[in-house]
Amino acid sequence: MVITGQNGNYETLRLLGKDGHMNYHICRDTAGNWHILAIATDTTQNAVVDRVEYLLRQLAEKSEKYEQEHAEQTGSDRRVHYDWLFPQVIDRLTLHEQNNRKVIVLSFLDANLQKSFALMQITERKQRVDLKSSAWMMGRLLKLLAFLYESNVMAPILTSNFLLEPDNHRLLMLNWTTATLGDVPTPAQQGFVIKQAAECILLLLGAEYYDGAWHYQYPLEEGEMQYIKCLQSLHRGDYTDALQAHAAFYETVDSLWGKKFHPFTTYSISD
Amino acid sequence: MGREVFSRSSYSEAKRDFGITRDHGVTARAEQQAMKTGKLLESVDPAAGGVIRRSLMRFDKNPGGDGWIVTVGVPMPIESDVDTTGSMGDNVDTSMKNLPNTYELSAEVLDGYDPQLALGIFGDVSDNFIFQRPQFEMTAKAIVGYLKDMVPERNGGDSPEDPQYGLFAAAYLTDAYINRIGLKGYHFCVSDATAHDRFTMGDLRRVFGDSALDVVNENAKKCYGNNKHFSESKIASLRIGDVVADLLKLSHAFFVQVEETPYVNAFWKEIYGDDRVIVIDSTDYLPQTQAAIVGLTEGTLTLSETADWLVQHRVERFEALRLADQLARIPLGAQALLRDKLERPLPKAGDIFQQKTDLWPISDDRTTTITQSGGVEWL
Repeated sequence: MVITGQNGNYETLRLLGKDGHMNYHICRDTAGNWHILAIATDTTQNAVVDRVEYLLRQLAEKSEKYEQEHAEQTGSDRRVHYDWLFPQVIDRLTLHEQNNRKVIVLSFLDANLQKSFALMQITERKQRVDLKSSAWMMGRLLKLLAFLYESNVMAPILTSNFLLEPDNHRLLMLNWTTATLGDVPTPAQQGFVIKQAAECILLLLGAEYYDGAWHYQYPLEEGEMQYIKCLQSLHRGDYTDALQAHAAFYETVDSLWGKKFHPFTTYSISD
Repeated sequence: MGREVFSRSSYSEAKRDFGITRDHGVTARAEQQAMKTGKLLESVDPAAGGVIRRSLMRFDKNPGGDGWIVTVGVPMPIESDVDTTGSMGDNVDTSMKNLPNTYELSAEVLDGYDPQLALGIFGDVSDNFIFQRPQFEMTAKAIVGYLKDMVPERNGGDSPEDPQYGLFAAAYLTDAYINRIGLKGYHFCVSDATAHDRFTMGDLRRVFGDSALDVVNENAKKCYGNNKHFSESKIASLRIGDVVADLLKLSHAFFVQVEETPYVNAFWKEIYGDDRVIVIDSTDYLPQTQAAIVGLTEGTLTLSETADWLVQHRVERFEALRLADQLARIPLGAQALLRDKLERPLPKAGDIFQQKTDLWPISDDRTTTITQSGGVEWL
């Protein structure tokens, strides 16, 4: 089915997921670029589409503002790429032939949607990620949280809300329907979501939860327990500021492995 | 009832005819009159004009046969009750100055409707006049006429004020065509203070006259069914939250808070809910704020274009962005959802009604909402 928006035509392909408010379809524009077409499940959800569109456009403006500030402060043209943390709204329309349901077309900059898959698939397929892969994933989540809090946005971090694009080390947050724009998140609110993020990563690592804490039972090389402890500390609620948590986390990661690209790696949970 | 609507030229003409030459003191003569007589003029007295305020379709006799022709469109009642105590005392002057914007911006987002404005004011129970309520009007002459007749007392006595009788009137003393067909009108309560959360029979009679309870019960039965009945003891136990809960069945109702004061904000959010309290810096932006709320509720304005729309209508960009962030929380498209449920399309100018009291035109072969059907791939 081809849909005509304000900025182009989109061929809708497979259904990617549903969250009760919107259905997400992979779509392709006439130039062959892949995007996500998010459509309200019915007209009662049109308001949710409006809110998500508004929030994502606000984030795009904030991201651009921070890029400019960063360039002025550092004198460098190297981008910090907050715009990789959320999708851009590239089109919007109302589908009259679909009961006047509203649609937004979303695009993740420089991500390969064709090679993306639901993050949940890792655990569903009885896989676990290796430590170094988990490190860039946790780093992305903390960077996302720091950016959101700086922009007065609250959003839960749930494994089910993300796609993984392994080649470019990207975590793509697909479901923004529960994100809210408003007041500055309190330390308690930040701490709660940092904990959610750490839990998400510990789960992907294959860790197990018992006796009130997450435990990692797979072999570790020298010093790597320090990394597990860092994740456990994030999960315990020791950090209530995403920016500080991000800095502390990378201090641990850099001291262990340095700044090197590490290909996405998974193992069976039984290995 | 004619087809005249508000225009800037008729506004200037009305002000000239009423001798209003300045932006300030537009109510001076009415205030003097009230001091002399101790009474409000009928045009703003909630007890006058049969107590109930009506928002009805306007018709002309069908020259080509039976029935009545709709002249403008579906009447859309927009009522606001503005605080005129203390520092809010200049708000009638502001309403008069802002009137062209108030009407035009509302009309812009209410295409096809007949916007009808009842711009009331309230004070404190310690004032001579707690609440003043005009009829729903749509011409400059009538609206300018009732605004100049108002008596803002600018006192207030203490910090909590008394907007509750205005909310009561909107909930139980309004008769609107829009409600009969299943849609809602708009109500805005505008203040910088909390309220006394109480009703008394004495004040109810002061405001609406001795027959208040009988009229309320007769009208409330029509609006809410037979179970809605007020006795004197029930009035005494009534709370603002109960009234607003009923008002929300008839109106898209909002509290517009002037200036950010946390305890005031918390008080009204408890009553209206988080999604219906909007904070503005001054009533200068009230027309734009109200119209944006109406547009977003009707679905004629989208959230993403709201900030630019506000700037286009002379709201400072910083304020427009702050407002848009707050408006993201209101029930977007709530009226559009109600419209989708209507069995027939909305009547429009030119439609013919058999009787003026009928709900729908004589015949209508326009198509209704498209629903999911075979042959269309459902996304």
